[in-house]
Amino acid sequence: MTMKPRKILLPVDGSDNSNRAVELVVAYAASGLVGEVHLLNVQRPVSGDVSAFVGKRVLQGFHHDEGMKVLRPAESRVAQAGLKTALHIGVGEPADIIVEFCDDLGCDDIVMGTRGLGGAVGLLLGSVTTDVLAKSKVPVTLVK
Amino acid sequence: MLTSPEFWEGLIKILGVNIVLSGDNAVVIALASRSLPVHLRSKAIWLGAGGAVVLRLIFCFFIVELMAIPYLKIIGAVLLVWIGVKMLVPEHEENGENENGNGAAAGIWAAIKTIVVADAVMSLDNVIAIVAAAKGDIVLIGVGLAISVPLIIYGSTLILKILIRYPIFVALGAGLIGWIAGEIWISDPAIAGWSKGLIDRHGHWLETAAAALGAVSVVVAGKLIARSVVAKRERKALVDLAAGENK
Repeated sequence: MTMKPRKILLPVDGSDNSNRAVELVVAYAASGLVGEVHLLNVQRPVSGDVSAFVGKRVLQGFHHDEGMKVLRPAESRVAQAGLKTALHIGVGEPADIIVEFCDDLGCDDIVMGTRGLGGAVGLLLGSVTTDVLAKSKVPVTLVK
Repeated sequence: MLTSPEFWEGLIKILGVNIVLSGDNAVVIALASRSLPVHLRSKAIWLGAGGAVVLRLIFCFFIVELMAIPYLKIIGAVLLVWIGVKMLVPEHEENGENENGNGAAAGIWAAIKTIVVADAVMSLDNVIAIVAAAKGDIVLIGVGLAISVPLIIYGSTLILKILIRYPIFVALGAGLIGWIAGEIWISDPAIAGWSKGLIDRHGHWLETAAAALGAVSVVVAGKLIARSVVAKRERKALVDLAAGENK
């Protein structure tokens, strides 16, 4: 069976599980099935009260810098494997932003780490992974 | 004083409340000082935070006095429930109108002004919760503020990371605020006679039950409201802040 190289959305947050998701994509690189890797970091929005005191440009600069801190190490890891990468930073509820970027970029797959808050706590808090699974239109690979 | 369990219980509550409710203040401090040169940054942070502590102490004094007036503890409890619920509803970042804002302020005094003014406006919830947790004990309030403010300044980035990565702590914080709300309304001067009679007759578990009821209602109401608010929220255009990084 031949398959077209796939465009993968790889949301990262710098956690151990997220790093393992990066490693998984790197391991898949040898198969030749990984086309482009779109690394995404989602920043939680600051409260409306804060944005009343701090200008939009400062706020975006802050989100950008915080996002790049997470994206850079993942980028160099993926680039080492000889994969084509692009970086993205979004602000909002993680699951919504992940799915929107996936639609926007036309990605074929999502590979991401789980938050590790399973069981009762995960149910109570509505974990990001559960939400992505519910909303995504493409296959989702969860790494833990 | 240091040997009484009430003092330690109060202190721990104050620290907990301060940490979970000061996230926004920590963000403003970080953002307002961001545009300053490095050598001015810590000066702005400390002067700004110092001003904020003084303002908070003054607010606390007022609120302690107010709490002695009948019905105001009940109103305070209602406010606390609202504050706790609000913590659980996901934030919506307003980014459109405030094109420049004070945050892009150039000088150190502008940064300090932003920190202090933002703190004065945003710490009201915090102050109500502190006074309620301390049950009006002004020494406890002073000690609590003196410990928690440096903790917030030094630990702000760490605290934010923990609250973002482990939302369970946000829920615990909201529960703590609900617990405090449940505790204070029954000691309101307007109903203290009635509630004291009930407690004398049935035992102290009633106080604990009132507090626990406050905690549970805040968390449940917060979760339910969060769900409906998020469902109704309008989609915003997707903005990619890393767009400039891709060649």
